[in-house]
Amino acid sequence: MHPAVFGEELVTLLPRMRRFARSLTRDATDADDLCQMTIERALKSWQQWQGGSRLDAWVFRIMRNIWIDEGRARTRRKQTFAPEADGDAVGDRGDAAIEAHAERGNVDRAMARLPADQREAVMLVLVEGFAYKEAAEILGCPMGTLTSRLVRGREALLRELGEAR
Amino acid sequence: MTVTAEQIAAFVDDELDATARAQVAEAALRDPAIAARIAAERDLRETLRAHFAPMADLPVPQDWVDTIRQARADPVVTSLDAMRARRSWGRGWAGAAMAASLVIGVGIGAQLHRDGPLVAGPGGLIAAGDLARTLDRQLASAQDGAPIRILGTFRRQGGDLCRVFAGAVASGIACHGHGGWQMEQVRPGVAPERGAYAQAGSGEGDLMAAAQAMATGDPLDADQERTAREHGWQ
Repeated sequence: MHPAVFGEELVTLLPRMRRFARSLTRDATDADDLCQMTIERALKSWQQWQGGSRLDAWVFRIMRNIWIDEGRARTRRKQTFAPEADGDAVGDRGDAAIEAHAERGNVDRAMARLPADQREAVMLVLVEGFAYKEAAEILGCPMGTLTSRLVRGREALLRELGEAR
Repeated sequence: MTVTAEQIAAFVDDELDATARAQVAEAALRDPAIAARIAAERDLRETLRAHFAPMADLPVPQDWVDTIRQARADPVVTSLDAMRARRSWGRGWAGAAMAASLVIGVGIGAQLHRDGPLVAGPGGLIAAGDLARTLDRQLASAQDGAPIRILGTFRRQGGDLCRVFAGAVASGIACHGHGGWQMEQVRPGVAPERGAYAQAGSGEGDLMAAAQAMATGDPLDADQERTAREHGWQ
């Protein structure tokens, strides 16, 4: 792949990278730092990307590895899902959307309560739409580990959101 | 039969093969609890998707985009690395832009990447890596399937031996002197795997015309070429 083509594909991934970064870091500023580090790493090592495999999976794996290497200490300080991230995502809303807004808060809270390994499994499969195999590769874990995290994460979310309704 | 939570999740995520799918569907028909669980899992999936979808539509900081576009426009650092990684001349229509950018960008970064196909020498661009090896060793008469093809070898005025080459990334004419193959012409490459035969043909035609204008006498035949190789292209 030509570097220009690679660059444009990376540009189109940026919003999803940021979304995944926010779910990892739960903080909008940390998420943007993580995105920048991921961009730098991806640009530096892009020739290691195997054409034919999904670029998004490759980039997400880079991001997640950086986060594991550099982010764990910082994330322990965080208690809540980032209000900035929520505000950005919600935008302007009319009265009719109050109920939906309440549900948004519930989803954020329920996601924030998940252990990190369950949250990332849920994000990758349910939100990002990766196949189990791809998600397991991004996380560097066996498929069985991924599916059990996914099931536990789902059960917790169903409980929380079911009660909230 | 009982259905596990893993199977229900995999059913909702479309991760089951046809047989396993049918088993879960059949279980759901018999057991309303399973059907309800499948519906709840689907709802959850939709709720999460809808919740996070707006975030993927938000604009990202422009400096991220600029960083990426600047990096990809730094031709030597990125493209020579790429070619080295592929251990051949790359592929596809990357060629046109890359060959042009090599000429423009080579002054900045070429010294850093001595394994790439071209490096900056005192008198201009010099072949390196796979291209240098091809020019040193490959005979026009024996090169089936080679990534870079030698179209011909000739002597120019002054006596230097020159070779016309065509690769996926770049084509051109290189003349032997000053301890290496100096680039006299660099053109966009050809992409044979895309069947771009017409472009390849016309590009090669231009190169051969340029070669004829430079040459004194006829191109070397197979024996002369082999002899020239034995004498180190002097």
